[in-house]
Amino acid sequence: MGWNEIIFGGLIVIGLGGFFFFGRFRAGQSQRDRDDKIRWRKR
Amino acid sequence: MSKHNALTTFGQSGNPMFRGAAFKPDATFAQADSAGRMTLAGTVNKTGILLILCLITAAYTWNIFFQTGDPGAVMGYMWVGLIGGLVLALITIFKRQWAGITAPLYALAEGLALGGISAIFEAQYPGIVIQAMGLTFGTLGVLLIAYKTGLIKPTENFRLMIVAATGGIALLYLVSFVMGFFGTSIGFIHSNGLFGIGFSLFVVGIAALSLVLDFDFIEDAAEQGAPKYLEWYGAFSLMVTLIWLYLEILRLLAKLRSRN
Repeated sequence: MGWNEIIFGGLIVIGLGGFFFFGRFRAGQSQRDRDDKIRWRKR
Repeated sequence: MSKHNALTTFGQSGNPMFRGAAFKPDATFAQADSAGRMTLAGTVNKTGILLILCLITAAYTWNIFFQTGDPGAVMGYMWVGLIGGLVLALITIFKRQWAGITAPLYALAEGLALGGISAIFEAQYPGIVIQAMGLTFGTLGVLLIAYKTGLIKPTENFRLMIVAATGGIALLYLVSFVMGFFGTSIGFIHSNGLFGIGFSLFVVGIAALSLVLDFDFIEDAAEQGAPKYLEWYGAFSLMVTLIWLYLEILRLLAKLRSRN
């Protein structure tokens, strides 16, 4: 296994790990309580 | 044209996945009890299922290519995957209640195409596929954290920009595709010169920022208590963007490697 596999394989693990871990939590308050949010339901 | 007129015109005519109608409350919103409502965890789990399904069929065509060494051996699978994926994506967009069936089928179809495409690139530029996958999933993780922490705040103008840029890129690719039938093409799209690489970088940027729209779309739907089937729809929209991002990164890396 070369450096290419170690570095980019690690990036895959970290990226997917981050997605599956943080994806389960709600966004922070500064993201949720805004007046200029996209109104997905009001069109 | 005022800002709101522009939004009405372009915002509604862009990528159908980003249309507000996708989350317009209908009868199913009222009928959904707490157990039948969309959650963030459910959407993340379903995205995982779609990624695994895509990987299974991708591994199948990948192996066929490396066993035979002949691009012709995977060409049929690639076309089935591309055309089947396009049809299933359109069905999912317009019949989102069916997403629980069509989204997994879409992932399987796209896997057939991606496995073949990836294998052909890998044969020409060894090591390129793991680089493209690493950059794709790295971008996914980083942008999700940036979104969740409020570092990137998507607004209506942000959406307008992404939808307009995506529409422009799609039009450019379509024109280039049609020109291909007449033996010509838009040169800079495929060139490995500075302009071609700059264009690829721009497209990668737009594809990456589309992920932020997907996150916002999923977060808002879960917050509003959308029905359970929209978990599949949210996972599907993430898959579409991830596949686009992966292919564009693959093209960008191939252009860079072909300069050596």
